[in-house]
Amino acid sequence: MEDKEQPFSPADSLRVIQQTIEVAKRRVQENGFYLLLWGTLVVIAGLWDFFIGWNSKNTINPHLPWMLMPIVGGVATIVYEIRRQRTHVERNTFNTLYGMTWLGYGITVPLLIMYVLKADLSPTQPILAMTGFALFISGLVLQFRPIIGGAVVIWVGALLAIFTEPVWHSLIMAVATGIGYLIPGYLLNRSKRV
Amino acid sequence: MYEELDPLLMSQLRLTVMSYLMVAREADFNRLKEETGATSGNLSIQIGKLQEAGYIEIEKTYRNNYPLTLCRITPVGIEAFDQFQQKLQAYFKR
Repeated sequence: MEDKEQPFSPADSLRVIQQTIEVAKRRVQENGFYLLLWGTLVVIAGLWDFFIGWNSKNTINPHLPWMLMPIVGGVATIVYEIRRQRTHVERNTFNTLYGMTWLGYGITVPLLIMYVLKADLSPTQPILAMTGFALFISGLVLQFRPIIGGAVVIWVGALLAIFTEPVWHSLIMAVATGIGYLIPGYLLNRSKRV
Repeated sequence: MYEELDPLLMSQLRLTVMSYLMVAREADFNRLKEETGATSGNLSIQIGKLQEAGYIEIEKTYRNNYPLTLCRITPVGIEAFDQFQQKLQAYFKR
């Protein structure tokens, strides 16, 4: 693009604004890594919990993967983020909003878990409801419909968990997260929206 | 019509830079060069003009020991861009 000192038409101006804003929006530096990472961890933990917990004679702790998940996911997130910060320097409104949504989620969910466990309730419904909300906002921010679809799937999972026995909750969590995270994460990764 | 519009934004390159920064708020020089397809010299001149008008601020810093030029839109720039867009929309409603 050479220097265009000569005025150009209002229509050209509007076209430039619209095209550039569209390009800038697509610069949201999200490639689905987090959806794939946390989706995989939740599916593993949920299935482990369901199938190990199903057999009451089993001596293996069915909740073990849930306890390990924040450590494994946390370390992977920190390593990935450090590497990403070295290559990408750009910040924008959308990246910030996306990051802040999940930061808020990361603070709210442990508080919710503590509350429901203290009240001797299943944490599945509030976790899935909050996850659906964070995913919904992410889908809007990234303007990526499969993520909004994923949020709906997870909300349906939350609704289902209200009407089922707790023994099914880990399976519901695994299936809802598997669909709600992994499919949009894969599609986002494939679309290379970095 | 042209007299009503901000002459500083009636340049394709400067308008592209401002449009990009309206979303990104901040971008490094190389990113702007990539997005606009402009030459380094031309881009330098144009962002210099935007800086003179107070529409953007330029910060020269280092990242990983490499020089980095960051361009950031200012509240004055945001106001100017908003007004420019409003006048354009008013033009098309005529």
